Amino acid sequence: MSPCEPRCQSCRHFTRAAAELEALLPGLRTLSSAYAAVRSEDGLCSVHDRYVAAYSHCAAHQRQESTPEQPQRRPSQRPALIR
Amino acid sequence: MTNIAELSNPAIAPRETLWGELIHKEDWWAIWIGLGLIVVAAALFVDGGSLKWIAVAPLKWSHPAEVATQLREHWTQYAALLVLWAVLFGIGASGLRIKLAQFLPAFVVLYVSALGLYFLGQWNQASHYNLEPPLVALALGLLLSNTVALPRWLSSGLRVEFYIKTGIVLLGASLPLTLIAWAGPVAILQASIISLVTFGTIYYTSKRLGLDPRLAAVLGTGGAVCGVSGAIAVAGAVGAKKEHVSIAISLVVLWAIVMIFALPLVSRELGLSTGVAGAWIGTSEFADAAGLAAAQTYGGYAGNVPGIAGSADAAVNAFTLMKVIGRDVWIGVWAFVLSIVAISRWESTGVQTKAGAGEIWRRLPKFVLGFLLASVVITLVTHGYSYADYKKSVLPGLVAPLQVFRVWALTFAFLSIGLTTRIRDFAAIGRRPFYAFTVGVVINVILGFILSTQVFSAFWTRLGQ
Repeated sequence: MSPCEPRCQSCRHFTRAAAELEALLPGLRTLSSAYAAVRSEDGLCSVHDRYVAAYSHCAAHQRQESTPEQPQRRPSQRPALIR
Repeated sequence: MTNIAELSNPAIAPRETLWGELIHKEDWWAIWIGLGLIVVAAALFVDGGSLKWIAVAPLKWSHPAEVATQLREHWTQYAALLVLWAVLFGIGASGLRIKLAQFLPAFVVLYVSALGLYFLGQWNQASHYNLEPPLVALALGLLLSNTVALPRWLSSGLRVEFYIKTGIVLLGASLPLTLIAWAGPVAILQASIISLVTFGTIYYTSKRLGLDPRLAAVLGTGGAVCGVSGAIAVAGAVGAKKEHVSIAISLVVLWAIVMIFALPLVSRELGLSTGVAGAWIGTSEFADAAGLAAAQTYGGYAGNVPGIAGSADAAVNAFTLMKVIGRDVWIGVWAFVLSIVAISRWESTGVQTKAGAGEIWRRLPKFVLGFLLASVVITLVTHGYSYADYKKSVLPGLVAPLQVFRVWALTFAFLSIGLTTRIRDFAAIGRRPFYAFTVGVVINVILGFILSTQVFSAFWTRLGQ
């Protein structure tokens, strides 16, 4: 890996906010948690549809403007009721 | 892994700082809360005081009128305990960026439910009707979450792992360092055997069934090391597909819930001692929360079910030694090794990554450090007391209140498991992953039984005494 390659954690296609990850991976919070230390800073890449480490990188990287941990609102994925 | 070139590149956002890690990860909040309670309790004890007033718990009862009497006489203590827990977990939730306006009302509901469950467990006929609190919490939660539309705000307070980790840190106060040093190597040996065999079985079966090696690794770690936490740690390290993670989550949760009911039931039928059953559960359950539910259930049989030898705490102690010390702490090593294999042996995914030994620390379940530190604190404070003095003053004044806090924290977790398990949310698993994982489950349960009841039976029986 080149030291100057921008990493996934700064990419707009990368989701690593804990609350969002738990919404995107149903069941994760039942017997684990996105707030757990074992997750480190991993997140979901929407380009490759993969769960990757924050220090990974690829040719499709696009820098995001918001901070990496700032949740991006997805109203359609936030129903009023759990069921 | 960060180097000067990366830090100087404006296109690269900074990684989580050490301070950020300390306040944004629930492992650390479990340590602050659990260890904080232990340090305060120890300081008060040394000064002649105790936390036992606020560490209130229901007493045994046989008639509902006695419950009303207990509540009337101790309501101020129960209210104070609610405030204490709400403040501690509320601060933690705030650090995790969970909205307090949603968390606090949800936590009040959880506390009141836990109180009801705690009272139920103290009914003198509870064991007769198999009304063990962890099992009732799970069954009730499953029923509610899968039949009733629960309000969204309630989910903010259902943090299984946050409560279970806090409970495990508090559990460290009940285990002297000498016991951990004595039992730790055997737990590590037994857990290593089971982890390697189970991982090998699931991985080999998955490959034979033509599954992606990354899915095979994620499933293998989920079954062999630490359930969903093991699965996501390895998934991130090897760059697994999103659907691989979802499949692993569904399979682990499914089998873990089956085992919560099955392992105590079979152990009871076989009349296993609490220490032996705890070791088996620690070897063959997949997640800490699920295993503690099963172990605490079995510990509840001691003294209540004829033929069950050993102390009530032995099941939870043996489980924790086996699962936490024997299996959980190795998550980072598994992730590191498999990331090397992924880079060097498996087909590229289009995402470039690298393997580093730093992975071992990054993915270490840090709450284990709190568990060990808790044991160190209690060992130091109680050093020099004779056994008679320990029973007379240390146990009621220091250890017992911390055990009560632990039971509360675990009860919050058990309620949260059922209430967050919605079967309709499970990902479509597919036959091949199901077969591969299930073969591993069968081998794990059989081998775990042989190791716990035959090979190391004398050791675990002794622990229970």
